[in-house]
Amino acid sequence: MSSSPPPSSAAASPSCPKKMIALRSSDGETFEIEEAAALQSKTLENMIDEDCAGTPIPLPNVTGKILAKVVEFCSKHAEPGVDDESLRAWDAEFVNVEQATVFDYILAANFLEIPTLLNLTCNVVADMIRGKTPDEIRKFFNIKSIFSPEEEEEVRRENHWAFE
Amino acid sequence: MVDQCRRGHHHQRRHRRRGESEAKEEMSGGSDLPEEILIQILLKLPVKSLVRFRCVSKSWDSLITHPSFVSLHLRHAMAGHDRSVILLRHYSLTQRKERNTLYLDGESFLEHQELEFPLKTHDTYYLAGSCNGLLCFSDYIINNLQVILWNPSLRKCVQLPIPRFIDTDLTHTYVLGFGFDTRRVDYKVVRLIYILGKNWSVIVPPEVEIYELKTNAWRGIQTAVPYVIPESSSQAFVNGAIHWIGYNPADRRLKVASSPRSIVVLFDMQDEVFGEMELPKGGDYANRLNLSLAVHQDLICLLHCHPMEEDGHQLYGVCWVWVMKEYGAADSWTKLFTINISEHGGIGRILGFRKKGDALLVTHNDELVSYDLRGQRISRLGLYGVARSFEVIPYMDCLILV
Repeated sequence: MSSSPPPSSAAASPSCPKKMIALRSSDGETFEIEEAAALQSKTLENMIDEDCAGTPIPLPNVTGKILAKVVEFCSKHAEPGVDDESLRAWDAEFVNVEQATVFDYILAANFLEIPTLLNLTCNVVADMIRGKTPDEIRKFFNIKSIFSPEEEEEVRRENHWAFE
Repeated sequence: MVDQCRRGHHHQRRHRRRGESEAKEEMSGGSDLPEEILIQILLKLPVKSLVRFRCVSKSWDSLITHPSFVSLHLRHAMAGHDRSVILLRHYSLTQRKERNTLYLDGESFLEHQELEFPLKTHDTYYLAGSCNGLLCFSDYIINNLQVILWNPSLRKCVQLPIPRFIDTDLTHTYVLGFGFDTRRVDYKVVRLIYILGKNWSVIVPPEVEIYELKTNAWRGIQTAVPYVIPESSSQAFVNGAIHWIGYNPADRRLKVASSPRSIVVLFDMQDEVFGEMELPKGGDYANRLNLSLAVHQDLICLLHCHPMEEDGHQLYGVCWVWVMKEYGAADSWTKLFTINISEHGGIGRILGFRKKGDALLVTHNDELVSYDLRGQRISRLGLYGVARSFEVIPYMDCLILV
């Protein structure tokens, strides 16, 4: 068990020792996460302060499959004594998944307000799309463009160097 | 399902470029990313990708060109510098042409890419200043003043409107400064117009006018500036202010009447006020041609050069590099290094500093070299050019002028 110091939050209640927090996914699965790990999420941090009773926190926006991974991420990042380089390597493995899953991670990190996970996954997507053509971007994000060909041509002509 | 893009706090789409009817586009489908997340992702992209992505859709075009996104992207770029890039301008003696080249400024100085100066002109444009990705040039022709702003990362350049004060009879001299106002998140050009008096003297106070990029207009400011900034003074922009070597003609503290004390004259971009700072104590600063200001690792830096010969050829053998460790505190001036290159024939100019601290110098035989201040060693770069034409400019990816 990690021995991280208890969080100093305004609503800290001395009668609640460090404990496990229960989370329930949208499809009814329950997961346990250490409080220290849960505090990586600002959303969870707010909820924990209010409720000390220990009933599972429902997360209707996150499926069990994704929530399991998020718990894994937060737990890893709450571990003491992990050096930067190993953590970076671990993170790289963590996001070495297919595109749809990365998007799921992004949405979960956004909903749960986990800045480290959000930054990591946004970097991954940025790297994925950096060299793409506009057409490839549309396919990637499933966007319908309503530019007329003339309008698009104008932007291309003004900035031809960016397309080379 | 969350459908059309909500502008949210990015407010109304005022910034229409194409005048078409509002297009409702859905960022829909399996990848249902909210706009604020898309912005987080786009902020991490270089200008070249962002410009290309203007073609993805109307709403992407609107988002990328929106002033608040442009400001956000600039702040993001200013905050995180993973690699340092320098734009080197010079007239090459080996290739017999003007060059604008990007160099990756890491452990070694690596040529990266050639750029083209945005204007096809025979007029010579001089760099007035640069900051945060924008460069300000002027042709310095007295009664036909052209000032342009160039964003090399965007390959875009704009010409400023003609200033308010135009000199038709050559009785004035003026100084241009360029900087960034962090409060208004805007670029500004400041212009001081001095009346020429008898015997090449300059009369204070000058007229002062300021150009702001956001308003695209010049306005005069009422400020009684007691300082003279010589035309030959080049600027150093740091800490939100432009700095020049100058003097106060009313300052009679020096016993020698002919030369008022040299000082650092500064112009604060946020408050639009002038001020002064003392130079390091005990130095002989009578000849202002031997003094110049630079920025060394984010500190204001004084370069005090000592000519090799008395006849004023302006070949310097020894140069002292001072930095002001605590901004505004004259007693915090610290002599960091002495550049000693007399054995190698001396230097003509010190252009600036690399990220790792090396100085970039132009030697007596028109060669650009990198000088390691600690080891006092020269690295040759294979670059030769007209000494006066060299400019070393920090390059930054930014969307300003998009």
